[in-house]
Amino acid sequence: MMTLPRNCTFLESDWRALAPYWYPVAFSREVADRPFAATLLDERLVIWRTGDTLTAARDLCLHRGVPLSMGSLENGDLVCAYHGFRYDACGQCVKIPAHPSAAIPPKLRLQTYDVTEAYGLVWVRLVREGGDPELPDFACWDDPSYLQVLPDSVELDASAGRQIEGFLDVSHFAFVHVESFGESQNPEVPTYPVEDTPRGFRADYRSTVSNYPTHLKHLNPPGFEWRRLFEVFLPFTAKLTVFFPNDGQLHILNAACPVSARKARVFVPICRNFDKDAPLQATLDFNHQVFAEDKAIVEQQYPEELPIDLHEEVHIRADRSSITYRQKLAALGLGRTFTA
Amino acid sequence: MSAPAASAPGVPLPPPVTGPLPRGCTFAESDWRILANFWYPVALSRDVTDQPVAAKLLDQRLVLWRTSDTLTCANDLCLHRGVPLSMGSLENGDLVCAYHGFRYDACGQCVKIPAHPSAAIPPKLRLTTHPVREAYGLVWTCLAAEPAGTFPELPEWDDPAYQQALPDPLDIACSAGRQLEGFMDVAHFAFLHANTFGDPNNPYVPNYPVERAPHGLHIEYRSTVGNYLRQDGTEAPPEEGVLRVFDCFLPFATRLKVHLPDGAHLVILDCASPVSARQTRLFAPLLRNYDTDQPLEPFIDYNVTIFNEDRAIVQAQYPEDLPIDLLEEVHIRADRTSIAYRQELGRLGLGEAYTT
Repeated sequence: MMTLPRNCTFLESDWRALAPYWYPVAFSREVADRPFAATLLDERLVIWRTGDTLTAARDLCLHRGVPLSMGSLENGDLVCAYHGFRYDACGQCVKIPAHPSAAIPPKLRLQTYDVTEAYGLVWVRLVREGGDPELPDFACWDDPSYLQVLPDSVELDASAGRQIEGFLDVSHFAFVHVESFGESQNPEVPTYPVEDTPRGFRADYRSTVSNYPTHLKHLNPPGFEWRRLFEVFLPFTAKLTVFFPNDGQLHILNAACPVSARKARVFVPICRNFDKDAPLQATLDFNHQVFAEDKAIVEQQYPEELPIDLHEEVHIRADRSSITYRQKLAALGLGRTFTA
Repeated sequence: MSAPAASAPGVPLPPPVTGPLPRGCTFAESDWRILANFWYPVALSRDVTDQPVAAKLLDQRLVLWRTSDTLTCANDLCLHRGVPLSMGSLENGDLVCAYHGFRYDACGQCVKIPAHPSAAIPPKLRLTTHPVREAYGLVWTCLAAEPAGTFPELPEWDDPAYQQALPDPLDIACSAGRQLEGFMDVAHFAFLHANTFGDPNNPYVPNYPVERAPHGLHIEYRSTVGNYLRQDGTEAPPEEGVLRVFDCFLPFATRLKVHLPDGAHLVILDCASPVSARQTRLFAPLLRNYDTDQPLEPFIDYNVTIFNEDRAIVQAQYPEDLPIDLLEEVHIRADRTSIAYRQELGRLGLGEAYTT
């Protein structure tokens, strides 16, 4: 069994439940000609690219405790900044410059992790057994009938669970998002169905709150029913499809990287099959505004960890998504230490 | 990797220092009680003049002040209302608290309470003071009444053939052990110091002997890596190589003497003063017996540049505490010094909290 990261901020049982899932840790574009440092579930990672191989390893030279992300890439090898130890794409040490002819013990090999790329992101899975071996589904990213957009990530001083739950929440539009798309006179939340899926659940929410920005609300066809379909891939990714007039579809993948128990980096690839020629900046600005509005709230919530025990907070009918979300996280094994 | 070759007895094991630990102590208790036995520099002599000076050693806050013929080091706390005495002033050889004007003499004894000038002052109104020495332009102290270990030796400081230089102290966010080990490391020149004296095409580390000595360790490293600014084009290492002699005075000081061609010597005393478990103040007197008619500033700047190259790495190393347990990191032949250093620190009793 893998040892917990140094200074792990998660309860051990939570960490072990979360480790066998894929999480995004970087934009693909961030991993170029230099090693890149990231942290996932408190594990410090170095990610580097050689030719067509991408490697994710523990960010620690085994020799004298220096983060390999301070190093450089040379001829496809990762080179430590301190003594020039070289590691190949498998994490094996292949050169010790102080003793070029000495044999290198096979155990001089970095701990590596499963890594892959999709949706413009680099994904890592720390533990192979259990969990979910598949990435969250976002097929529209490779569909030419869609426009693909990759906004900047959002860094939050909050737990990933609180962030995801906020993304799924449908009763805060009229309050938190008044400046962007919410309608302060339209706070009522119709009942909506929530269904289990093999990898989480889906919530099919229909209301009259349009998804147009405040200054474009006049585009809303009278009486149009806005459908928002949320699909959760446990534990920390959710896909939202917003059905626009004239068969327009907007897909937003909210993929939260749990950096630590109280820190998240959220990646939000977006696809849409309309307005494909419109300038992107307006979309990026709008998206940034909505996430900034949520960030201001989510960073203030406490207890900081999402309360898995349903008795800890009060629930209303509009919270069917978040109640289900907490129940599903409990079923993964989260919050054991809380509730025991 | 074996123990140091020679069999000198090494530094005698000091007894644990008793008494309360400093407030907010960041060291494991067993480590602190061992480390408190030794001398460490806490200030430059030239910085302790007509004002009290604050310092910190092993998490203990200290105040230093100078009267005509005495330099005193005491805990930096007025016994009356908890104000650091380093906020105060010096008057007629007394240290005066900034808050209520309590005056303390060079022994730390309170000699005046201005609110009640005629009342008797109890003898227990006396600051806790510590032994003080001035050497090599530095003020040294020890938190134990009876210092242990060998006081670091720098005979060149008093040799008129040498020119003295004293850079300002350098604050480094790392443990003293990590800093000192980096100073003694000979396998990183080609990588970290490629812009100063290292040669990126010469990373090879020849074998070298490491001996235990009464003061700690004695290491003689001969290689073809010079010690000059590479850019100035003067570097042409002699065929017999350059000899670097390291003498480590346990736990956290090392003198390096670099034997350059034509009898030229560069001497550096690297003193990693342990402010806390993860904060170090580096004092490094420098000496040279060449270019002694040249200005000091470029000489100091060059060496400070090298110290800063090391600083960037040692601040990033983790675990932050030097791993005393040799199994925690991987070692190569070039690491004979650091292996021996960790073993000697372990022999002193450091790292017990880790390994047990």
